Amino acid sequence: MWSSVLLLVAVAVVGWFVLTAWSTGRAAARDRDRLVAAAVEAWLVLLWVRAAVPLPGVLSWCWVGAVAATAVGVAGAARRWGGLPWRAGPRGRPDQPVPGWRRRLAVAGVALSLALGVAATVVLA
Amino acid sequence: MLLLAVAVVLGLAVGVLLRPAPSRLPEQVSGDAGLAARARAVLGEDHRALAVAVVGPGGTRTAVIGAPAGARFETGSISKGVTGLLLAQALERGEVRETTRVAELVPELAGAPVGEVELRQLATHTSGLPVQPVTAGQLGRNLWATASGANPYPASEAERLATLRGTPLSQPPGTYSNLGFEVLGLALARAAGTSYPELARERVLEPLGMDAAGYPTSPDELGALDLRGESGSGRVVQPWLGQAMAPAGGLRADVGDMARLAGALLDGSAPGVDALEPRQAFRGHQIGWAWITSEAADGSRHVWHDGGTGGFSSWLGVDRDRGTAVVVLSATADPVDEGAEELLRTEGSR
Repeated sequence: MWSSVLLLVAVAVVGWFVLTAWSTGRAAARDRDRLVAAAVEAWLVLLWVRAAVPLPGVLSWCWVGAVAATAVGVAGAARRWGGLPWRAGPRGRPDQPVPGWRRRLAVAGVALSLALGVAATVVLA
Repeated sequence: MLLLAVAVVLGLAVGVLLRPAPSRLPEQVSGDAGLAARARAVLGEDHRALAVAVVGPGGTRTAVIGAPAGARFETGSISKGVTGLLLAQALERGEVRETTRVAELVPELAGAPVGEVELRQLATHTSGLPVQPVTAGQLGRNLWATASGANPYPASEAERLATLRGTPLSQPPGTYSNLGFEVLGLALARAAGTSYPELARERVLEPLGMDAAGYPTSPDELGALDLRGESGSGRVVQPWLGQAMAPAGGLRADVGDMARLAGALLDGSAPGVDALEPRQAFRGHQIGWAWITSEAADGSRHVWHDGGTGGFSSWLGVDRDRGTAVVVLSATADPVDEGAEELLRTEGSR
């Protein structure tokens, strides 16, 4: 039961990341901070599923497909990276200047997310 | 478009590299080649290493695939069967009674709920103890073990006693309890005035000639022939080693040793073989002192126990009507019960 729930969560998290990375509509990621966080979340949930949920036969190939989908999301993120701020202003007023400390916090958040992703890879993979 | 194509190719490459799947058995075989082929057909190829023994009227056949002939596997909960044999012997010797309470042998548990439990309750999973300690520490160790492949049961005897003092007897009868067999093993060792590994060595392993078998409790006690197992997703995990867990899941043995145990259970020469006699209902089966008796669809009766650790899976069963016993040891954690039962059914009629 719980493994089915975890699989559904994984599908949702990976799907959300791909959507935010490629969408140009309301679902589109508005800044680098959230884009990297979504990418790391997708990678973490994939690693956790790999470690905790039995994936016999075709399910293990579905997992491979989910990794490929995450890579597609990363490609989308790379494509949009240059046009995104580290941290966007409030929704509805995206061009409003963001205080310097919030930008620095966003950069630190991105670095922390990446470090977490690397650490999780070492432990879980 | 090029970026997308590169991403898909790289993603698939990483995915295939990390695909969660067990190892495939290599070609390397020692022992009976025919039995090895039969084991591959029945149990599949998804094992890091596999060992099989069949004991029957024609003698004992063993085969090991993907490891040396003397490789030691974790047998997991088959260890409980050995603890059951020790209980039967202690009863025969008059060291304990079925109704002896835990606190009579382990005074540290006097006044605790588990202190009032009788030995027969521990041996039949009717004590009310949970499957494992229900503590934040154990939950954390379980999560960490899932994440990293670490050993979740490293507790010493003293640590386990401290946990047991606060453990309620809240589970319904028939709740499979590793904790119960840890207590039973400790109590029997106390009754004999020795440690559990020493007791098992003196009364079961040595008499049966299980010379390579033992209960390592630290990595220092592992040798070159001690296999590392893998999870069902193919990740190599840490060995399960711990002083407290020994009576419930700490036995390591090679297939020759396990064949000797199975043969002695089959012909009734095993010390404490009375442990196999069914004593009460257990989850649709019957249970003796640890050993489970099941009726197969064809009416035959199998006495068996299985085992599973983070990286191993095992099964030992005897069919006295057909005069056959089977042992299966796998260095991959996916259960082998179904295939092992099929081997017991089919090898008995060969």
